Amino acid sequence: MGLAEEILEGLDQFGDLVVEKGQPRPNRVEIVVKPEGLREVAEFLRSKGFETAASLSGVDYPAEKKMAVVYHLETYIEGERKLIVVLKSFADRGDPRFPSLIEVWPSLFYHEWEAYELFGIVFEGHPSLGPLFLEDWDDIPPLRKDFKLRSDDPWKRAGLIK
Amino acid sequence: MEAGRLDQVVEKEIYVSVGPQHSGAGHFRMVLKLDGDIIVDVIPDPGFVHRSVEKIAENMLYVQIVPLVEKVTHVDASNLAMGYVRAVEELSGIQVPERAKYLRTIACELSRITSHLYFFGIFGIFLNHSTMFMWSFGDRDLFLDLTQLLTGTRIAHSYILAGGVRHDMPQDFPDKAMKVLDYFERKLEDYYKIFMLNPVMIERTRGVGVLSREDAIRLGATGPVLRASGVRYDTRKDDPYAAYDKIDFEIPVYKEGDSYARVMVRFREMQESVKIIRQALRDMPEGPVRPKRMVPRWPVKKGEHYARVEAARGELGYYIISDGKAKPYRLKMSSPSFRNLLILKHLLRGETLADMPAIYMSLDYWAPEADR
Repeated sequence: MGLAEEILEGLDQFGDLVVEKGQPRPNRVEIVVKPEGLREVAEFLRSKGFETAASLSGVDYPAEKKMAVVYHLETYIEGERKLIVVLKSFADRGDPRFPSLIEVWPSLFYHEWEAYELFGIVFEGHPSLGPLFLEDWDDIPPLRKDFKLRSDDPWKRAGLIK
Repeated sequence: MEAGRLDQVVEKEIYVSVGPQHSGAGHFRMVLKLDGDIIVDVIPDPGFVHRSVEKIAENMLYVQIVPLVEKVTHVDASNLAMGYVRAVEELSGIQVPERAKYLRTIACELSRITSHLYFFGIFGIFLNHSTMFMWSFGDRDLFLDLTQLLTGTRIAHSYILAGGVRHDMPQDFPDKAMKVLDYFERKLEDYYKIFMLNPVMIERTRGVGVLSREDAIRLGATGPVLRASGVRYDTRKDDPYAAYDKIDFEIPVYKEGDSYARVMVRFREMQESVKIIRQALRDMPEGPVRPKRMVPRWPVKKGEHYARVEAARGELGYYIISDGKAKPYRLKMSSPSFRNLLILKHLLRGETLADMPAIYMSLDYWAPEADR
């Protein structure tokens, strides 16, 4: 049994905290978890050898009124390195809150901070949520879909064309 | 007027701001909390070169994003483009001709060598070793010329596009490349004798800023930093793309985890890159390098995908969500420098201020790549 099957089977212990699981393409395991189950599932994945979180992306879905976090996890186990676990969780767009996972994966420290600043996602338990890249920012978080770029056309910006 | 007596000096912790004007490569500031000359804590302050690539990408056609992501790390342009194009191709099932795969490999390795030589030059300056700077930047120009011959430009090539590469190499490219590689291989032996065996270099970097294997994995170190701490992990071998699965090369790994090991990994990687380019030129099959017609609107399928490549600074991941329209719904860039930022914080604690440059620069932190 490969690592991917082992993980998919082991997820049964979490009952309905795991909303969805599957292998959408070779070498990818995708898991959708309720926010309250993130911590437990994260610890389970870590114990299976996924010791590093390579990436955390916030995703804004205004049509569904949801906000998502997507973790991409990688392993250094020989022979299983092509496998990437995609861990997803959805929260209400009005007040997106997730538990901070920096105790499970310390490598998430700056990733969570970035998602807080650019999406307004709160990671409960993160010690230093505040400005990171932006200075004196007083608008809505810029990577949300309702924040529109003013113009990407310098001619328009200068008022030379409409 | 103060007496200027030593017994009147009040010892207390002070904050020192390093940067933001080119504290290394790019605009980046860190605030060091010092007790005497011991660094107690570090507060990195990224964001001076933040250009919000991810937001701009949502408003651009897929093909326009290639030059956008390349400019983030202009010294390593082809690797940056390779990752993005890989994500798009795997998401949409776009096939690439065999010859184009080899040309991509050459472009990526030329990128890696120019990037590592850039690192060598700046690292030399930080250790007051100006010969290292002169030599590296001098030799880097040869590789920029080769890149220009292959792609048409010295930096920001936009050579790798979905479905292949922009054009085939010119006929005189293999000859000129072999000349440069022969020269550079000889020169690298001198590099080793003059820089890597240099007593000042050894004194200032050996045993300085040691990152253990456990910490490297736990804190998510990547690239040469990870490999200098004893983890044999390289996306080119472990999740191959382009023509890397058909080429014979080694992954340099060191166990020490100190600044010297990190420099040595990059030095050995340049030797391996030379080997890779030689083999790619030798084994390259004949044939087309791209589809007959390149369309500005790439046929990107609906769905999402995360793909990674090994850039010069480490593993670079792109997460693309496509809703089937002409522009991506979301593009996330997980860049190696951003991942190594946490390592900087971890390593500098407890070191002396004088060791700061040797540790900071050995991470090859590239500010625009971390800020994006």
